[in-house]
Amino acid sequence: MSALKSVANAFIVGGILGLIGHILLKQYIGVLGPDSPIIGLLLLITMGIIGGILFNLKIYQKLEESSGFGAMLPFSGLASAIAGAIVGTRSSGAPLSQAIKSGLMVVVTVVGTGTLLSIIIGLIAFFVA
Amino acid sequence: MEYIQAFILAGILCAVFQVLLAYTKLGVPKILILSFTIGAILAAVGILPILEKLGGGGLSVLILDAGGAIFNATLASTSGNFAIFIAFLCIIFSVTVIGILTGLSYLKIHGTEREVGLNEVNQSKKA
Repeated sequence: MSALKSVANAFIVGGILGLIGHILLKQYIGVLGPDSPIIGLLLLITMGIIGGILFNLKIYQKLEESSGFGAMLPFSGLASAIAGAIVGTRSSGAPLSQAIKSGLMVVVTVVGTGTLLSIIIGLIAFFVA
Repeated sequence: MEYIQAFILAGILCAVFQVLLAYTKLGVPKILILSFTIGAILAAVGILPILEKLGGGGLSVLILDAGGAIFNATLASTSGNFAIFIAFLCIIFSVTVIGILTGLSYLKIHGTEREVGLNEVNQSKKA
């Protein structure tokens, strides 16, 4: 897979997932009204479920392979990454508890660190402003 | 039109991060963490709200936007409003549960790759 082709694939796959996200958002706003506080929650959970189903169909792995961040940057990629860590660890012969732990480690390292850095930026903005 | 905007904006952002993956040696976890941080910085300088208006749901589904959400949540928390923060934690918790269930159901449906390998060995022994 050439690097340039993977970037082009990332544009297409990321675009399609973004389009699905926007369609879902419009549907949820249509049903719940624009001011409902749970729209963001529902939207991202739905994306997670989409990622989970495609992972079980072995489609999401192919998307990640061909488009990289096109499949990994949308939230469906997070569910797929957790599942991938669990399956990978279990397949290497580790017990199930350790496999689940490795899935949780994905959340802690990526989301935990990302959240912490974003909070620091928020605090800097608060004290500077 | 807004659907095309969602497609193009989400596509461009994914492509930008794929450029980082393909042409640098940062690796996936670091780039994902970077995307959080960039989201927070874009929110701090006021670009993210413009992108959100353009991209709609296409931007909301990106991890980049999560960084911006935490930035906003932090600012809201300093004035005692923790609602955004709690909502964010709920989302992360839910997606984590979905991810774990996905992993477990995958193992249930497809088995581990090792087991598949053993089955093949057993079958070839029988043959």
